[in-house]
Amino acid sequence: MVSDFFFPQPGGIESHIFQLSQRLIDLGHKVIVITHAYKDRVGVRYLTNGLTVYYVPLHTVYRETTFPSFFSFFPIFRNIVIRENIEIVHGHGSLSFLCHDAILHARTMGLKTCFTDHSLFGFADAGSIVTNKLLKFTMSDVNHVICVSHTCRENTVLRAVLNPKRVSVIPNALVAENFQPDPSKASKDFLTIVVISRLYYNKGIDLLIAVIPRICAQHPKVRFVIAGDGPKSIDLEQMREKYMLQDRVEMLGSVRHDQVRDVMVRGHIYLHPSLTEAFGTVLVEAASCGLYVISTKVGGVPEVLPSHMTRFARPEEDDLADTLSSVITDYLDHKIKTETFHEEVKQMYSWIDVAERTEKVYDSICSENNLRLIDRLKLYYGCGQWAGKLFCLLIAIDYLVMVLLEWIWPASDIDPAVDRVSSTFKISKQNFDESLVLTDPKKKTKIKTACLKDAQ
Amino acid sequence: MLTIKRYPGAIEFTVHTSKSYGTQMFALCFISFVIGATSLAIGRSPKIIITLVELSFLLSLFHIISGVNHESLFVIRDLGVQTNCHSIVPWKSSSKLIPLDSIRDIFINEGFRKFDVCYYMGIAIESETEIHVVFPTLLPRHDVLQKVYKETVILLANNS
Repeated sequence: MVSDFFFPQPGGIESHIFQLSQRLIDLGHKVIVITHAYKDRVGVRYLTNGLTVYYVPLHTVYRETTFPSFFSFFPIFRNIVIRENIEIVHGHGSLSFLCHDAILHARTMGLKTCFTDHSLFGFADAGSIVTNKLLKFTMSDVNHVICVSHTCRENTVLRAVLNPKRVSVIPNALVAENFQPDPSKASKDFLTIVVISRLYYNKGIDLLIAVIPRICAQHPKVRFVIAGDGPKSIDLEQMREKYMLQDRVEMLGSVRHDQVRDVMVRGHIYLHPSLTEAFGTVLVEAASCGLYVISTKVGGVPEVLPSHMTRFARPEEDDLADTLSSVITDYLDHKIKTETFHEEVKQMYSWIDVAERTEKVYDSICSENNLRLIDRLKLYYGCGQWAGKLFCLLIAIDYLVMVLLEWIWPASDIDPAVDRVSSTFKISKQNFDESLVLTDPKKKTKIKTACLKDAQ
Repeated sequence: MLTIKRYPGAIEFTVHTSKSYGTQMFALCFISFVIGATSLAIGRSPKIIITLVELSFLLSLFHIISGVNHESLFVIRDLGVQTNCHSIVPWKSSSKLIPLDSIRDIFINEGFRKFDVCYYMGIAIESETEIHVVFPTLLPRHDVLQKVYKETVILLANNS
């Protein structure tokens, strides 16, 4: 798994990678994650179930994405891939340059590649044009593409000019046990509307800023709890000051993923005003916590939950305010029942199901033959009048870099990694030698050193 | 390459460099010859270029010779461990004694070094925040480190 987005940063992609990795390990696969360093979190870390994470020291430029380095990442990537004996490289996120780099180098090394797109992008603005061209470059020679919703699939197929047969839809999921409803935590005096989102423009925070004062004026018994951080938090603070809503709009700031459920159970309604959304895992989490969901009808959101759990509004101030107002009225009149939501969501979404479907994708790409360099160059040449030639040049250089690296650091010189002991691997008492006791003569404390005897 | 010397109540592990100096010297001489021949063929201020080539050759030669050629770990049962770094030049040689009562833990971990992911053996010392790395320059392979680790722990654990 390769992406710029991973823990300790919270978010949908981060959670997806972690949960998918855990379930794939449960299915008997060896999984490692490659991401960039987060502040002092550099080097090799080991997470639950023997999941190894490589926090590579690379410079980040914007919103935790690395600078597109192309060839400088190749030596360390090659080293990791060889020492861990990797067969499939699975990249996540269109805006992750680390993912694009990894897929490029993996194909040069003759590995199978897979890409999961978690986002929707436009076609007209400058940022989207550049992103789409980069995506076209990477997708020209990827074995398979996974999208998190059917809308996302259509968007990706158009953006990267892909053969739709090479694109599958595997939605996100959630660990339902971590999102249990708790009606006792919700206020009896107020109707609480919860918003959990990164406070960026594309998450519809401007809509939220416009809607909150109108709802507060119409419904005196309504209050808002907003969790998340970002550049739009200043605008939210200003709105709160302007309309003097400090007692009715609570801003919690950034919350860790393990705290999301505790925030959600405080509410009755979940509001999701996003302007673009490929899937929206947070909607599933909210429904699992027993919240009624109100969302803008954008992207893959309509595919996520059944109609009795959610109500949609157009991404416009008036329509969102009217929809929210009517839902509040219905809720206060006890017309909305959310008691069965958790069990229904539990039946609908499961990470085991996601992992099994992903495994089928892996099986299908493993049977494919690798392309020769000349055939790869033909694929890249069709990416555009100028871009095609540039891409071919990059691929040729990448191939030469690989040959050079093989000469300088032969694969035989790379120390193979020791497989981590996962929770599924039971260690018998005979395998342990607990007779080794390190004694501190001054403190008289004993440090037990359990040495795992060589099975060989 | 690892050599182990056993003494009563002590063991010395020595890791030698795996670099073949002959190959490096040949490569250095060949590159210097090519640069020198090219500069003579061009014919523009050959003396300066030849001087620069000779200077770079000598510096490279010094760098190869003065590199750390072997590192050792000396484990003494009731006393602790001593790490040594050996080189021709004095500023690259170093030695450190770590008493047994200040050793918090001995472990093998993996980390990044330039473009490489490698295993290293570390000693966590009571009063220090930094980990003391054993064989920091030569960084032997995992199987070598495991052998050193097991014998070190067994020897230090046997004191009572």
